Amino acid sequence: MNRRVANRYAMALMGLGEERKALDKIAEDFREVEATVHGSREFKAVLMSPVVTPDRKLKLLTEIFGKRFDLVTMSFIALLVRKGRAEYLLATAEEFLAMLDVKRNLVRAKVSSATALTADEQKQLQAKLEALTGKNVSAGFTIDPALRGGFVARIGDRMVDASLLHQLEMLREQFKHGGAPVLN
Amino acid sequence: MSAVRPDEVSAILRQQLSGFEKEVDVYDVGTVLQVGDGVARVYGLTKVMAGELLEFPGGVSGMALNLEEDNVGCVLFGDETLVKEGDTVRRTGRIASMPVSDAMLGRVINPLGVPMDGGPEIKTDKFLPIERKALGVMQRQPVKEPLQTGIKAIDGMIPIGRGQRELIIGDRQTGKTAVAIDTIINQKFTHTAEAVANGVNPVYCIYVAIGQKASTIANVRAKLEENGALAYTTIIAATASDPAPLQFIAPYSGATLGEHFRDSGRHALVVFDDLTKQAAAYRQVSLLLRRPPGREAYPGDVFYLHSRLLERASKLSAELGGGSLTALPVIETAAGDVSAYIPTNVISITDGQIYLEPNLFNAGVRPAINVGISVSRVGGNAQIKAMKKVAGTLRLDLAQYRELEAFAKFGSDLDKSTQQLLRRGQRLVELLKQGQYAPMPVEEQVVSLYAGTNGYIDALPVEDVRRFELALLESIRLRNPDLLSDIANKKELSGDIVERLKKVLGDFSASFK
Repeated sequence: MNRRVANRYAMALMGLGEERKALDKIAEDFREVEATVHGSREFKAVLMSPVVTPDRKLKLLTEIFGKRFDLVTMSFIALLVRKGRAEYLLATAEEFLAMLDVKRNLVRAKVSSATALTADEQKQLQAKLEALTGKNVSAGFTIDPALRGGFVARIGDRMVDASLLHQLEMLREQFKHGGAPVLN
Repeated sequence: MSAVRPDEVSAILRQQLSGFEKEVDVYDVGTVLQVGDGVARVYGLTKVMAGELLEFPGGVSGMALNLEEDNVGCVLFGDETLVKEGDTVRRTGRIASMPVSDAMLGRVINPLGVPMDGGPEIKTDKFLPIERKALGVMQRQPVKEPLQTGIKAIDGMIPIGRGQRELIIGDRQTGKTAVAIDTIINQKFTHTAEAVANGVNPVYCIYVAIGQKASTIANVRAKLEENGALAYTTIIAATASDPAPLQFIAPYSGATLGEHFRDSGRHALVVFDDLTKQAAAYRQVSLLLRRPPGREAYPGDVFYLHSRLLERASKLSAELGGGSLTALPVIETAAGDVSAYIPTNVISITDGQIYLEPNLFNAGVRPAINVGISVSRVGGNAQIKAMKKVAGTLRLDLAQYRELEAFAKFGSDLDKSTQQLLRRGQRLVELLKQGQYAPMPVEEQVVSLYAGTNGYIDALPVEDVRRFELALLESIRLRNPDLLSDIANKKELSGDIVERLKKVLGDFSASFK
C-alpha cells in the first residue's frame, strides 16, 4: 500500500519536474528531506502522527524547508500534506530518487574497503563496476577494518566480494570439507 | 589415537592451500526481516527464483517458496535459532536439488542428500532438482514386468507391476510398513545371478521415512540389514524432530533418487512412509507462509502436492532404456475412514490400493489385507502366466466365500456345495497368512496356491494348513528343485509342469500326517 501510493505521487512529480526542467533541484530537496527525517525521530513522529493536523504539519514543513526548496517541491509537499498523506512523504522521496536513478541509468554502489582507497583506485574500481553492471555507477566509499583486506561493493542486492574476510571464510569451509572451495 | 605429527599436518594444509585461488566472488543477497516457526521473510533477493535454495548464516539452508511484492517467504531446512533478524541471506542460483549417486545405497541420508548414519561423505558430482516435472506420454510405456512383493495375497490377487503406483492404506498398527519392508526384502532375489538368468532385473529400493520416530527408522534399518536388504536400499529420513519443510520435501527427494536409477535403465522402488504426515507438514508450512487454508485447513494445492509426486512413478519407453520407478505410498487412516480428505485424494491418484484392516489383524489374518476391496488397476498385465492361472480361481473362491461367510454358523444345515465353498474359503484364508520378514519366491507361491485352489488342502483341518504348506515347500525344495526352477524359468504352467506338479502334490498329500 505504502509503496503503491508513493509510486503514484513520485511518477506525477517526475512528469512535472521534467516539464519544468527542475529534476535536479527536486532531487536535491528530496535528499534533504530524507536526511532530515532519518536525522530526527521527533520530526518523523510528527509526520506520521494522525493527531497533528495537516495545517500544523504544513506550517512546520514550510518553516523548515520553505526558504531553500524549489517552488515545485514546496507545492508538492503542500499538496501531499493537505491531502492528509504527510506520512507518505519519506516513501515518496525515496521512490522519486529511485525513479530518477533508473531514468538516468544510474546505480548506487556502496564500497567498503579495509584501508582508504586512493582517488585513482576509486576511479578504477568505479570503471570496473560500470563494466560489470553496464550502467553508470555512483559509488560511496567507506572504510571497514573488519574486512582485513580487499573490498566489498554492494550494488542493490548484488555483492561483489573481494575481501580477505570472505576469502578466509571460504578457506575455513574448504578445510572443513577437504574439497575445492565452492564458488557461486 | 595416534599422536598428531606437526609436519604431516602442515603438509596437508599446504596441499589444500595450493588449490585455493583468490577470486572475486559475486553473489546476490537479501536481509532477513522476520524469522520464526521455521519460516523467514526476506527483503531483497531481487532475482530469486521460486524454489531456489538459499544460504542463511550458520550453515542453515532454505528454500524460497513465496515471491511477494516486497518480500520473499522462505522455509528453513535447519535450526531457525541460528538465523536472526537482519542477517544476510545469499542466493545460490540453483533450484533446490540433491546429490544422487549409487554410493547412497546402504546409507541413511536426509532429504538434502547429507548422510545421517555417521558414515563417510557421499562424493558425487551429479545433482538433480528435488522437484522435477513428471515424464510425458511419449516417454512411457505400459507396465509389463511384475514387481514381486513376496506376499502371497498381494502377488496373487493385487499384483504390482514395475512403474505402478500402489497405495498401502490402513489404520495405525495394521502392518502397513511391514508390507513395504517385506517388499523391499523380497527384492533381494532380483540381485542374484539366478534372477538375471530368468530375465528378472535388479530392483533398487528407497525407503522414505516422513515424520517417524528416529527409533522406528533405526529399527527398519536394522531389520533391512539383518535380512541382507540394506545393500541395495537407501533410507531417506526426515524424522518427527526435523523441521516441517524437510518432511515436506522428503518424498520428492526419494523420487529424485529413484529417477536417477530409472533414467539409467534400471528399476527402482520407492516407499513413501507416510504421505499423511507429509500432507500435515505441508499444511504447517503453507499456513505459516499465510497461504489461504481450505478443507481441513489443508492448502488448495494439496491434491497437486501428491499428484505431481506420484506422477513421477513411471515405466520408461524402450528408447529411453526401459527403466522403471515404482511407488508405494502409505496413507494412515483414522478409525478406518477412507473417505477423509487426504485418503480419497491419494486413492484417486494411485493405480490401486492395498487395504489393511484392524479387524482382520486382530483375528490373526496377517498380513491383514482385505482382498475384497483391495485392487490393482494395472498390475494384472504384469503377472507371470503361471500366477495368473492359479490366482484366477483363487479370487473367485474367496469372493464366493465372503458372500457365504455369514452363513458359516449354520454349519451342517447347509447343502453340500455351500459347505464345500466355506471349507475351501476358510482354508484359503489360512493359506494366505504369512509371517513377517518371510517373503516367498513367486514359484513357491504358485505351488502353494495351486495346492489350495485344486483341493489338496480341503480335507485338512484348518489349523494344519500352514504346517502342510511349510512341509510341502520344504519337501519340494529338497526332492524336486527342478520343478521350482522350471516354473521360475518358463513362468507358465505348461501341461508338462502341471502333470509333474499334480504327481508331487498327490504323493505328498498321501504321506502328510
